[in-house]
Amino acid sequence: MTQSLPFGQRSCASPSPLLRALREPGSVVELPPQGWNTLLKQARAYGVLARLAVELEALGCVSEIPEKAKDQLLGARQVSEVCHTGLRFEIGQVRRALADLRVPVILLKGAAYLMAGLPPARGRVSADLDILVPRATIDAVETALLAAGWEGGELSAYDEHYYRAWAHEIPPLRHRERGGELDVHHTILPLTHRARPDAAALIAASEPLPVPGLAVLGPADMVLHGIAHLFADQSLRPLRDLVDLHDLLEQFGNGACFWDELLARARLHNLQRALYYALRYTERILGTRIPSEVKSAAAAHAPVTPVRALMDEAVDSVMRPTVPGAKGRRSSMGEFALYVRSLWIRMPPLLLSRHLARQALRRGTSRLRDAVARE
Amino acid sequence: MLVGDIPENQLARRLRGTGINLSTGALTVRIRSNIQTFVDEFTGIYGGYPIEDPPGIDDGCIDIAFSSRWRRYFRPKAQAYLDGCTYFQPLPGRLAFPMLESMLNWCLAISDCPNLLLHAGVVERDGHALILPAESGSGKSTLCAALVARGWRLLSDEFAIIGARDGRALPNPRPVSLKNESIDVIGEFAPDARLSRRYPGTPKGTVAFMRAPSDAVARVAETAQPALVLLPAFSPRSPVELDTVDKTQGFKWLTDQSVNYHALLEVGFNTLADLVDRCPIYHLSYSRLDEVIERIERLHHDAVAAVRAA
Repeated sequence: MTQSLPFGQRSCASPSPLLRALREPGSVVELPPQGWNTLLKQARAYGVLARLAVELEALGCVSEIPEKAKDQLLGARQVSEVCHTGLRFEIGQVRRALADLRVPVILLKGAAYLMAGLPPARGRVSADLDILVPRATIDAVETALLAAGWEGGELSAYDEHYYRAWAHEIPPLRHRERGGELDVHHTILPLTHRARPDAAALIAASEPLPVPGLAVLGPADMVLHGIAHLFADQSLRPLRDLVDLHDLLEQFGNGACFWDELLARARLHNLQRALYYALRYTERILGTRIPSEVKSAAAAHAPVTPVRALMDEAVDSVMRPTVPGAKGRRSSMGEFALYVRSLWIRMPPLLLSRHLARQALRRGTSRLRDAVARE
Repeated sequence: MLVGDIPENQLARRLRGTGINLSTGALTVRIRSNIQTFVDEFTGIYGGYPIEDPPGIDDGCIDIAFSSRWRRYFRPKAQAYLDGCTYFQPLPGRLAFPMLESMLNWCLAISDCPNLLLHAGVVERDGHALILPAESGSGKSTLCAALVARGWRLLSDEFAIIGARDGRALPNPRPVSLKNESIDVIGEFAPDARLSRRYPGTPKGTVAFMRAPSDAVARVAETAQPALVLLPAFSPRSPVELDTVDKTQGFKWLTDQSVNYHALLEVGFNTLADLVDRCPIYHLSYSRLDEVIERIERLHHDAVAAVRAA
């Protein structure tokens, strides 16, 4: 599935009610039909349609929504529920496969939100299961999973090397019969990344779930993992990830020492700049409530003003929902700028240039091969 | 207002611009295109369909466009987009219309539809629906077209939509897609059937479309109680053969033919269980249309009588 722009900038309807709906869900009842069209398409494209449905149900305003919109919203919520059932089952299977190893299995992202009953789980559709285990146990974990029916895909020697030497996870596994993807991590950012989060500290501070053998990251670490993914790595669904962060901050923000803990853990994991960005953009875009002393503490790690201005521009354009099918030039430029940035902080320059050269060479040869095959 | 009521040049302009909201019954889809040959063929086949004016909330926005600017002039390639996303390989520009048909099917299949979707043809007579679930190549569309040519009302050629609330079949009458040999079979069987031109070279071979009769399009609001399920299999030189399908087997088989059975959880189970409870299910092998249609009409008549008695 790819995005494209068959009709240039011309759009089906007027731009973005999605951000408004995320900030004030109740406002949707006033939308005219074309506003609904834009909202439904944007929410679907950005992966937050089911979340919107859950929020509207909680507000009790589903009865005020036009029939056609209600069908789409409730349909999406239904899909997310099926997804949750499947994810719970997969988690149980992984737990069973790893039970004999007695390693702590730490659930990440969607699986963690679901099992810990946290708000980002509402209407969240995630196909993959991500877990974190101590790096020293990764071979044993992989062997146990392979024995229990998971298998790795076909990878080129270079890709295999990329994962094993530089990545924060082993090559993705897929169950032979059920097909769901399982990503096994040993830390939260690539090993080549400038920030080197302290994986041992993440594991030490993890919190067990009522289900034996399973745990989730502590609140501050969980937020920082989301932040690392969004502002220090490459996120495929930036707006959805930002919404997750917003939900977590709103949930944990009332806790007594959460904010101090967050600042301290950001220092420990070398994610202070990313934390600054996360607080800035969740507040700017989604209206997250952040104490002002936390903001000023985080601002000590802000970049110089021209860089911040560029980042504002890029993030705004990536997060500002466009009408599907009418992706503007602005957003692609912003996306490109963020892509370049993510690569730059991900690998040291020499390694990066070798990596990019290899990728380009491979793309070139495969394109050539396709062209030859077509003729 | 109907598609055919808009003057030709105005329609082309609207399709190039903001698009039109086409209603096919279960779906209302915004359609746009900048391909002139597509516009002509679209009007020829969908002329009798209503458009929603002013446009309301749609179920998807389909663009049929040249895949790039220069592809308009050099070996034209068309691409179909649903809400800005592509799902299929681009095809030569002359196949733009079949691309719309595929995309309309796809749009329904991925729509999070709250009702049960079965891969099946559905026709109606005496107020009761006959459901023909089958995989491609089993002659489902041929049988569907032949029954429609004999006066049955077309509800749908591709997906049976079974209402989760009442178990009734919801109409979504669209052109019946005929592939390869079945185009000539229907041409001979029903010389009056209104067939489109042939589209050779699609991923499914040569395709032609039988227009939905205007009566079927006019009656989209009339749902029908299912009375009979037949699992057709075309088999050369075979006489008509009927085999009763055990309810449990039938249920299992229908779950495999469903697009969203699993997504609907207990609603899916209840809707399908209800359908299987109410309708007799048969395997039907056939080779000659005259013969099989006579048999189907008798079976359906009996099934309807049984429903009415119950």
